[in-house]
Amino acid sequence: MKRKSLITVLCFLMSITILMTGCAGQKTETSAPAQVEAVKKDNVTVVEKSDLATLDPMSATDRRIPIYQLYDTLVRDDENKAGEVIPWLAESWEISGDGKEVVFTIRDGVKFHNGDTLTAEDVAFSINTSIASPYTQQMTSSMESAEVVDKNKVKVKLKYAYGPILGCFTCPETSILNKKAYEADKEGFSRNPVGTGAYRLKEWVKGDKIVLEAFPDYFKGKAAINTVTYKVIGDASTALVALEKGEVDVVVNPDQSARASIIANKDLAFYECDANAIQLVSFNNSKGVFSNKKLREAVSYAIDKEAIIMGAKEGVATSVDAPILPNYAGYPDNFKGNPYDVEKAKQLVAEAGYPNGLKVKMKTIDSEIYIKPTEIIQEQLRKIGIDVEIEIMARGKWMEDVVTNADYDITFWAIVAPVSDADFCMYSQFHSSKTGGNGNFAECKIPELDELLEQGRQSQDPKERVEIYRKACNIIKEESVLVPILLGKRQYATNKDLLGVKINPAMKMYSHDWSW
Amino acid sequence: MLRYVFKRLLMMIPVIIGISFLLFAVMNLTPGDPARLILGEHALQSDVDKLREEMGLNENFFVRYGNYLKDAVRGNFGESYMLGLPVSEVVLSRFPTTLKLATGAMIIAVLIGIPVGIISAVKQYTIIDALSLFSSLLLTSMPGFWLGLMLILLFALKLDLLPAIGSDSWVNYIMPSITLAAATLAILIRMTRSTMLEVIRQDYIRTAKAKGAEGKRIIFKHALRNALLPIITVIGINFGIQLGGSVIIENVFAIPGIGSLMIDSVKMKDAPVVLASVMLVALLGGLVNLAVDIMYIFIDPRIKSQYVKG
Repeated sequence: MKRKSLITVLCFLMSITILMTGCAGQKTETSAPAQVEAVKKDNVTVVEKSDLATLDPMSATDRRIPIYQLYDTLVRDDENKAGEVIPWLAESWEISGDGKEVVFTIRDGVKFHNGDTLTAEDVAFSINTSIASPYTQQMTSSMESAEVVDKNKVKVKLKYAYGPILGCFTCPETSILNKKAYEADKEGFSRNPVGTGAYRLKEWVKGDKIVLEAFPDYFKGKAAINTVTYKVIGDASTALVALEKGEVDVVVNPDQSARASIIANKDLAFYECDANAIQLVSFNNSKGVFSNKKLREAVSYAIDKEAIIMGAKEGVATSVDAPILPNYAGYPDNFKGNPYDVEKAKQLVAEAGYPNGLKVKMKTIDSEIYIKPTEIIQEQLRKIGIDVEIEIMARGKWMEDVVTNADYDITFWAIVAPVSDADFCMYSQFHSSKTGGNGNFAECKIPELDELLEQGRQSQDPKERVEIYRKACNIIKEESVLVPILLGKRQYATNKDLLGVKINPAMKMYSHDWSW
Repeated sequence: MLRYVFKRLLMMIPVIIGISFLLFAVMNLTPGDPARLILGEHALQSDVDKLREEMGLNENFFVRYGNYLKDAVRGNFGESYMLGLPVSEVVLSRFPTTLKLATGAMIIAVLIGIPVGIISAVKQYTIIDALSLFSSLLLTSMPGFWLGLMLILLFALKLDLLPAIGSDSWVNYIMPSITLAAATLAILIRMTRSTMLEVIRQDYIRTAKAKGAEGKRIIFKHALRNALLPIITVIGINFGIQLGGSVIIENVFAIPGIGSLMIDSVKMKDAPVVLASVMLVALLGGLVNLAVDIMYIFIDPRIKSQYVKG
């Protein structure tokens, strides 16, 4: 009796194993019928990892993809030339001689989703709303106010001449809203948005999906694809299975580990570019052990960027030396950071007064993006006698400790620069006026650097700006304020039949360009 | 009987208040500033301070808790920090999904678990019994996310029978319910089997056999009814747990339930949502327990007689 049941159990076990290994096979023929339908599709489904908090671009801190479809901005990035812009809602613009005023001429006959025609009034109102909002300061802190000049002209006054000002008008923070609708119900606007965008809101099921439909009166013509659905799928593996099965069409930033299998899959298309975020090691320059310059310098020599890229990013990342994104306006070409040199690093640790090494705590956010590199850095610093204890914390705690209170010694994080200009990588991170919870949590206070950063943001001469930022980068390198390490990647995996998809570092995704 | 139910309901009030106090304290004493999280890392410190003031975060802890309770009694659970929506709306919009999922899982677990348990008890030490032992071991050892993914790979991708994601129709709930049911199913099989075995050995079963009662009748009328009490307890406890949502399963199948809402709110320090959803889950847990106790009365005449007399 006993033996018989044992055999049965074994048979059952085997059949389960066969079943499981059977479904581990990657591609299948069964997806064929789904593709026949795909040809005639007039809808597209994009995966979002989490739901949006709001559709009001003036009260959001994250630039989310649906916002790009609902609203337009005055200008857009020139796809062919980083740092340049092309006309969009504004037909043309003029910057005054002193650089402290910009006058936009607004395009005629642009319609809002509620049928209203876009006026200079709406534009001035939108910009003023953005200036007043605490959420959008990264984009509007240089602006004083906006006023209507005449029927189709709006003047934006600046607090100071600001080189990258036009770039600020490409971002969702300066989206143009319908004044009437916003004033009528400010709270409700986040759920009933009225913009001029290529798509308007059809349905929002909280926590589940956002459905947009093509706006027939869009000023660039109605979009080719009628419905865009943003489906919340928290699990990365599920998102990819849904993509392979054809239930969704676009996955933004799929799991790094799935990259090879996506590229190998003939039914999928894969798009990739460098991200607009510099991942780096930052120190507290004013307090604690790393106020010692030699020690910061030691770390800069001890870090092997290639090893981090191989170990933490599966080899898919670009190493960087300057705290400015390559090809951003003001980027100094051929800038080199300190090389990887363990012996020199050891010597510097000794010179810093720690011949027997030391212990430090490294705070980092509870996310794979940050934890993996942090672990490799821990190992690299161990080699030079710095014993790193990693403290992984929730984002909220990290922000309170590091961003607000600068209560840390060393951390790994990323500068995200939404506008293609050096100023966005540098000013708020390094200017001494930005210490005390306003962005410069490296607590870097170097008068000479302050001066360069002010010159850099006010100058209108591209060549001069490059030289200014080269000097600034040199100071940051000499002082080892922080150690720039790598650029991650932006990636889209899509159904291969979806045409017109373009990827860019800021992930400005416009579904108006798409078709089947 | 009614008095008993009423008493039990009253007893839930201090439990809920206790839970709310604990949560309120935990959400407030753990580090992380909600105002900074809302405004992001580029916001000016002065704006963050202003928002803290507006949100009332600078006031004394007990004053704030008192205010919260006062509002909560009137049915106002505040606004979500993150979404700017009334908390009741946020939480209740997620709840039906979780309820459907938990009910589906329970139906599967009960419809399969109890019969399999009975059969393996009646046919003790046969192949069927061994198989049921093996499969319940397998079901308990498989982690939910793995089972979920395997089901998706098999039934959605390979066989193309079921949708991989979504919560639009009942078809979407088949795989998540099976995944959620797995662990409960295993417990239920083992529980039914062991209590049935215990009951089958009782004297009154022998008596029933001796007087010539039919086999089926003995099993269902005499044995099962007596074995039912612990089984119902297990069902009740697990149903209560499932109503709390399952973050992992909701994540794997992209179902917007209450589990993922709670986790997201904890991460974003959205205290009003955390409080309201946990209190709702606690309340439901209490109600399910009460329902189980009431069912005892109908199943077991001995318990019933206590209430009829007293």
